[in-house]
Amino acid sequence: MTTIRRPRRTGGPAATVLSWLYALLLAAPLYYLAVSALKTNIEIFTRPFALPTHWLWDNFSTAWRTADLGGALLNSVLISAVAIVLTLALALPAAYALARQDNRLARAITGAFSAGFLIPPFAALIPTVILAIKLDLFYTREFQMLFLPASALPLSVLLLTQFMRTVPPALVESAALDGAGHWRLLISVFIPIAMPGLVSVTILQLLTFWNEYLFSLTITGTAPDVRTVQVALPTLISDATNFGVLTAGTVLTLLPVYVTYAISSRRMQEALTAGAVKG
Amino acid sequence: MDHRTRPRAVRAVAAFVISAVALGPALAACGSDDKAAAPDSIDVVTRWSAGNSAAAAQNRVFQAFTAETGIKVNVTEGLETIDDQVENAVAAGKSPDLVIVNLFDKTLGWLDAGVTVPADQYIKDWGLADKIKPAALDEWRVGGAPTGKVQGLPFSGFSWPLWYNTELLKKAGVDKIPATTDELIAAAAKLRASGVAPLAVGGNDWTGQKLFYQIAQSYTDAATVKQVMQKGGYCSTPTVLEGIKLFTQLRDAGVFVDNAAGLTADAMYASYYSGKAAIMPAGSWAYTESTASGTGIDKKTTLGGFPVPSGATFKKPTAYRGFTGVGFMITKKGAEPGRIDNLRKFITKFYADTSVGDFVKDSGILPPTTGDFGSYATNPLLTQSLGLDATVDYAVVPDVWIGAASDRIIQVLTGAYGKSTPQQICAGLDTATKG
Repeated sequence: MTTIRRPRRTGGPAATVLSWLYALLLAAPLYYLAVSALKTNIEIFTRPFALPTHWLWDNFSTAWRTADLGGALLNSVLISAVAIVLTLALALPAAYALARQDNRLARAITGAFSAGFLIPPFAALIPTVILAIKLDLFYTREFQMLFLPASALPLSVLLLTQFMRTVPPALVESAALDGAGHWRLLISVFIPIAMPGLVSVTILQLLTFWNEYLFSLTITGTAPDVRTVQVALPTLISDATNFGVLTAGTVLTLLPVYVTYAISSRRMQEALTAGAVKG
Repeated sequence: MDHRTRPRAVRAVAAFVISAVALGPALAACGSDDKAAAPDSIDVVTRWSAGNSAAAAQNRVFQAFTAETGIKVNVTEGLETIDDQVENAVAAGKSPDLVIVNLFDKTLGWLDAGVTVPADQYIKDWGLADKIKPAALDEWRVGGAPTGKVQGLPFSGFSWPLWYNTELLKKAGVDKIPATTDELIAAAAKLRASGVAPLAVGGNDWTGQKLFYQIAQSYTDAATVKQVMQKGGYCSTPTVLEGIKLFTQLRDAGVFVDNAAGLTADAMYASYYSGKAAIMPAGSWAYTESTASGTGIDKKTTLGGFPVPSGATFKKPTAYRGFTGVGFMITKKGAEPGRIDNLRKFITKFYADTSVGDFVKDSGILPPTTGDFGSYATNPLLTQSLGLDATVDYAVVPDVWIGAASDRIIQVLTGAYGKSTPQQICAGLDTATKG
């Protein structure tokens, strides 16, 4: 009896070309951003994809100084960091509880979290502004530190719950027999196993917090001592905007996100790999 | 050998969380969230944000004021949505004392809404009545009526001529700046034949809106134009409709650059400064920017007006001039007895001749006060613009009259720079005006 060997599916040259085209498509905006940061307005508008005739490195220092990006970056780091800590502190126990229960109440609570997706952020703006005013937290960073975790909880809880449901029941029972309580189970069993999910949620929400603009502008405001970097950047816009400086400022605000993402994504891959090789 | 037992990811997240918790209180202490104004400070929201050419002159006034009086200026930069920012702040009970802003759209309703207070009495009491030009004050009166209350103190005036690159015109065989619309059409054809785009304009924003109105009012007297802008009647007013037809005639004759409907002010500036287009409409705020572009365009440019058709109400080509650029709007909080004297010292500091001169020099404003500021007009285009009165007639600036319909009108006019017919344009404007 002869066995029919199915041909191995390879991409072939077409797939390689398409992959490169797709990569170029993704790289084009980044290239445009980078070269624009070193050009004059005239070059940006008349030769958008060409390399700069004169490399205007000063655009970066001008953007940094003019928009006071140092203080704004510090505010963004503070708000994002506190918000992510609060998000994880609330989402992890909630996800643990939901993952360990499979009854109507748990399903109802999960459904309630899912309903959070149905509220568009813009629709929540006015009530949120009123809430900030009533709490006397308008024009403060503290409100944003509290509000961002609230808006991030639905997705965070649902994602983490799914990851925690993959924990083998035998492992949980074994740990329980050894006398582990809920907190010990969460910290020593569930979080390590759900680590890829935890890192994913952290990356996803940090990016969201960092890039948030609408609520930061409306509620935190534009005062130099409290504004985030996303709000500081538009102060470079005027009736005759220097787009080279504005783009340089944009690059500066993107760098921390890129670095964080690069580090965290590597950690995530390592966590996944570590899980794969353990017996 | 790595003796650590926890995976790196766990350590990374743990370190991040611990750092954030530890850093939180420390960083929170870096900035103060307490915006409650002390008696020795004033809260100001300004349209002149950091990227504006007037920001440096403004900061010098702030610093000089604080040095002289000891009163601190808490500055908040207003962005594109400065009107919403201020309204939110007032609603939250955190109103600024003063808003440095232009008179447009929502700010036109602030006096009625109780956000700001009339400035009439302050102008008299602070000795500015004889200093501020009457024409400037009139533009800040409610409804533009002589009896209307003054909504704020005008500061930044502007001239808004047409810029002609005479070098490109000559190369194309156009020996003199067009004075009539027929000459403009002929010049556009010659420019296109020589490979140069004719008139650059941002058909997708406020620059296109202003140029449209400049052309559309060619056959109509000022009073009727104001009424139509305010209440509508673009289709039912024959002279206005005739002006709209003139606009489409110029458009179809290729006077505007290709794809003008998709352009913005920034694309317009770049196109003109780089010598790709020979003509553009731009205000005095662009004088210093054009010099800074480094292309030498300021030396090749002659300022003039937009050519007029035969039978027009204007004798000379038209330009805009106005004082609705930026002014000082005093809020209810700023007008409180304990605070208004600080504002008196602050605002009058801006009107000192040296301060006005500084703004003329830095950002090319048309001075709001009487006096000779020629020595501050170091920019060649600014010097030219001071002589515009002899060569142009001034058209009605639409801002005050179209009010809150401005954005809706821009949407209609983007179509006008595309392919809309005169009837579609006038009907769209009537609908936009009525909201």
